[in-house]
Amino acid sequence: MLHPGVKLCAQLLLLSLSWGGTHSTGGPGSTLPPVVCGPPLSSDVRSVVFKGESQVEEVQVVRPLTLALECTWTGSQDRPHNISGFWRKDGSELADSRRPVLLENQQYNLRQAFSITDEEGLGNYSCVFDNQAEVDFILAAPRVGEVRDRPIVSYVGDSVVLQCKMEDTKPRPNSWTWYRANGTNKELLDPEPDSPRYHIHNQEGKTKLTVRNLTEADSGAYYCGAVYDIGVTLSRVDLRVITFLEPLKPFLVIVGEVLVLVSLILLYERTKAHGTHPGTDNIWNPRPPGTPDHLGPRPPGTQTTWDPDHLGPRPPGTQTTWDPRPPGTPDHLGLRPPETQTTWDPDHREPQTTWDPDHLPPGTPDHLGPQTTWDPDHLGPRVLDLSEGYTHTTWDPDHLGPQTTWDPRPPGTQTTWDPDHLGPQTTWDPDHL
Amino acid sequence: MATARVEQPARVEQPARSPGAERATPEALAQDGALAQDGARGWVMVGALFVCSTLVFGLIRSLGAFFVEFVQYFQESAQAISWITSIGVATQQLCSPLGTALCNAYDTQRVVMAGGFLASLGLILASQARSLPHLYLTMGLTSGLGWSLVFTPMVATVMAHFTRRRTLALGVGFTGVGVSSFVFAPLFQYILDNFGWRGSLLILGGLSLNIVPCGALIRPTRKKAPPPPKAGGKADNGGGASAFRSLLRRVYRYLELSLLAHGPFLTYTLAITFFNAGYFVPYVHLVAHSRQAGYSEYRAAFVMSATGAADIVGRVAAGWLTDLGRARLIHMLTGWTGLTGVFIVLMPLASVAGSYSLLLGFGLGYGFCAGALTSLVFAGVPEIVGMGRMVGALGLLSMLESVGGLLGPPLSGYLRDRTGSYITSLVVAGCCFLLGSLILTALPHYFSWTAPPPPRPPDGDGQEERQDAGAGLLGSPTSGSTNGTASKDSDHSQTCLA
Repeated sequence: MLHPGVKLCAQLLLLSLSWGGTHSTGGPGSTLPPVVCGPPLSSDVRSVVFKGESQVEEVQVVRPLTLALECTWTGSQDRPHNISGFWRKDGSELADSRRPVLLENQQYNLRQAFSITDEEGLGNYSCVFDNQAEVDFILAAPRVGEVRDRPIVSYVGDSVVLQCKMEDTKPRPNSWTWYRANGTNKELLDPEPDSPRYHIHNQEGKTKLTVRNLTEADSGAYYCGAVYDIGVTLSRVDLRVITFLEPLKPFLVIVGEVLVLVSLILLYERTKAHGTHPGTDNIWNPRPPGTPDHLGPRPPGTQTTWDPDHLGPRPPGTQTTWDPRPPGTPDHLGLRPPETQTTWDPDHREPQTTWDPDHLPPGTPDHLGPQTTWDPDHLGPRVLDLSEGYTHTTWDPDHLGPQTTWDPRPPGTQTTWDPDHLGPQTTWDPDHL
Repeated sequence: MATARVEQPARVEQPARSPGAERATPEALAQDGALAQDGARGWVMVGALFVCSTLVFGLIRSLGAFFVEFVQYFQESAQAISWITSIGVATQQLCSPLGTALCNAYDTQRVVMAGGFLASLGLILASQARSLPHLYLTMGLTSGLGWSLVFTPMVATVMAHFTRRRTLALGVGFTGVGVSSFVFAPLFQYILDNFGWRGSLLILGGLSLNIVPCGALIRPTRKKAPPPPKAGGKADNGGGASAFRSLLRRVYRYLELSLLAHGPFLTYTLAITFFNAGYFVPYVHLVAHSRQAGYSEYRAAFVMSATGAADIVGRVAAGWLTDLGRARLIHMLTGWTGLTGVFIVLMPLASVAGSYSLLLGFGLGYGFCAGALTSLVFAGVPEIVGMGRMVGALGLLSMLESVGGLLGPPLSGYLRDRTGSYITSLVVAGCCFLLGSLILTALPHYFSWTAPPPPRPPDGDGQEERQDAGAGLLGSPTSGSTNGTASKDSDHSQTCLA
């Protein structure tokens, strides 16, 4: 039986070429009365001349029409006078279409008119010559050419615009429809005009579907349908809705890597910076706060040498040695009897009154000026019974006695030079240690 | 140049031969601070520059992948969307002096780290955008500001770390731009397909955060407090007005605005501006021109890829070649830019003549020479303005040359619209290069074989600080802090002879 969408006209209709317009019921030279197959349709003709084995021709069909397809074949090596030709649709031969074809002007000619009334009339029509050569006419409604092959990715709560645009070179559809895939079916999307979620906006040749407040259930395939008189062509757009957690994971991985790198680098720099450099300013590490870099200007008239011979302006005629000792003075002065003074000046026999390290009157400054005495008795820490409390002397170049403490030094500190132990040095210079 | 180079090694290498004993002397420390940095530390900085140029310019170049997504989401015109990258690039270039001024005032390490943080913050905030102006502010302004705080300071740091291999180091560092455009194109497409533009911007923000460890690699300087006012120097004595004036003077000094009156610097900048005007035109128009000449899309794209590969090779090769020291840097720069101009002019003529292999050959030549000149452009700055003002000079140069970059492509687009073909616009771009080369010959001491004496800063006031700034980029704790003026001058002069 004939395919339901095709009606084979009994007579050939030769036609004028108006693509999209008027009816024409006959052409020049046609003596037969017009045979109208069904309701009045617009008409068009497509013809192909070819040599080789096969050819493909695409035909755009927008509205129901009567389409005449014509194939002209130049034949193969041997050209028999009489061959058979027939028409096929979608692979199956059309009944009553096989007829003999005569060689005219070295060519074979097959012509057939088809009445395309609805979507089922579209398809793949072929004219076949003698099972040797054929031309495929692909009748189809215009489809949207630029199809996005990757899904559109959007986020929960966000909005997305799905759009379809028919190229300007193709005929514009009458209208657009949207479908949503539901299992194997496609359900029509027909939102109310004030629907909060969906909004369809159609323009010339363009359609946009806006979906707001996305949820993950909105993922899936959407179809925009270009509506023509002949039917609807669908074009697929995929939507994928994800939560913000998805890109957050690689992001957090990268941020973690950055934090690790930065910490490593800063840690490395800090451990390198703590090593001592020769020539740095840190002489005494850690130095208590407030300790000056330099110990201040040396009082005028003082010397830095620890020279028992030069303890100050020596009165003329005195000796440079430590002897003679005042009579009765022991060699080793031992522990001082309490209540006694500690000064014992080899140059000045009488007890001194300038300073007594055990009994410093209140208000005595640390640096007592150019002292000329040194006290071998003062072997221990300074007695902290001063009214001022905590005296603060760093070193006193005149205090040449062997101190064992150097106030105020916090415990556990280092000294590179120790003003107490000048030992067999004859010079010490706080500037060059 | 030859005689100076012969003297140099004898004088400088002495301390290096016996590092233990000589290290402590101040003179050795000064020279040590400049010479030893040609070593491992410097190459670490080159790696950091590589990563930074990848994450700044490579990223900018690949942002085109977002174009389609933005057009679809915001339903705006193509022009409105392309403003995003325009604002970003313009901000990066115009704020370069700000970046270098901050380096002069504060620690380079902190500035670059802050810049990386800002750039990544801009991208992260952009992922939340609901409107286009939001994108202008975040992706454009914020990220652009971050990029300006990163790029020029990194270039200045690398230049301060090298003396003899400076151009090569810069060339290797800049290859990041070319390599990343090959890598980012498929990568961006992949993350766009999987996460959409919001997630992709978030991930790009994370990637940009990698600039922060690069900045952390810069050794922090222990900037001393400004030295006490010398007699006749800044008048800081009392009053808000003079405090304001001293602030202005500091700003003037940090931005190196004195360079705007410096003849050779202006000449150099003018030449570079012309180069910039012509530089981007082939990238933009070559593919379209090849298509118009009848070549298939695949062949045209292949010419562009080949050009990009030649660009990468050219950067490294030119850097190595310059550091051999056979010719002066300024002469080599003139050579490369002249050749670039010639190749650009020849390219459309080859396609008109119909020869694809000629077009490919000229394209390769153009790519090689264009890459070569990028290595040399920055390395030539210290020779002209001196090491002390180099940092600010780089910032000012970036800002002023951006004028060329902003005007060049629209001008060539206008020419194309007027004449209907790309031949005129490409020829004009080539002539920009040739004109710039001619301008370079106007530099002082151009026609001499040896390098000129290094330029002196304009006034004695602040000389120590500027040299501190130049040497301070080295990051070593003792550079410039304990040495007398004599050793500082020797440091200054030897590093000028690039």
